[in-house]
Amino acid sequence: MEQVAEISEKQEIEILNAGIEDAKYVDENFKKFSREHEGKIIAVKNKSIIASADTIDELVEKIRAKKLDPRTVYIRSFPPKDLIFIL
Amino acid sequence: MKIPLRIGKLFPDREWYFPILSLTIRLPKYRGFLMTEALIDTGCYKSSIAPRDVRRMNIPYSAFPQPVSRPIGLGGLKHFIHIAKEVILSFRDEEEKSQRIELPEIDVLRCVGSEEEAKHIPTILGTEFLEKAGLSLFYNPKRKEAYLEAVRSVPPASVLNKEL
Repeated sequence: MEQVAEISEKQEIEILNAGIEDAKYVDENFKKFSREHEGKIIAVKNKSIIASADTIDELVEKIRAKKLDPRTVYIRSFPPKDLIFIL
Repeated sequence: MKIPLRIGKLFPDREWYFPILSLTIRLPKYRGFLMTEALIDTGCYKSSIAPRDVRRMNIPYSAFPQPVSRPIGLGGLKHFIHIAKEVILSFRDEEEKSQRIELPEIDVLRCVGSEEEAKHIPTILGTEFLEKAGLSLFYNPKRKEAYLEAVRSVPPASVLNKEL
């Protein structure tokens, strides 16, 4: 297992707050992003899409390539129009 | 105490909305940490970490105990369930204070088939989470309003059962 940095409680709150803002950003632009990234999964940091990929592995690599920690980045997927599922 | 929820969409072309909680998940036994969001699913008892979130946590499935049951169906896909013990969930209340809840365990989902297909499946908080945390869910889809609220003065389930 790759060694990863410990996250302090203070960092945790900051990460959560940033994630909430990024989630709102995606909600506000959901229609546009779902059109541009249909079938893909995206990573968002500071209200900016930093990566888009077909697979989670690919996305994680793209996040790491930007020297960011995948655990702390907001992600969202946009299922293709013909995909519906029940949870 | 109220915990605001977002009302979000999963499917681009459908006006289907779901109550969603932004949170962090800690798995101290595995030094696991993750910031994510979870769909509050009252049709599901157990809570589960989606494969895409497990991947981001960077904990190999081999680190978890082996599944004890056959695969379950979720989102049209089969998943093995690994169980991670000792879970800490943190989220923000309406006063933007951090709230923390400990769960004895959580399901860790491993897709039997392609992980690519599982990438759209979100992490889920089921009714066990509401029960253990002493929270009730308020959801008004028409007004697109949802929150969790701490249940006050409610005796534990064991007491209720005795009275019955």
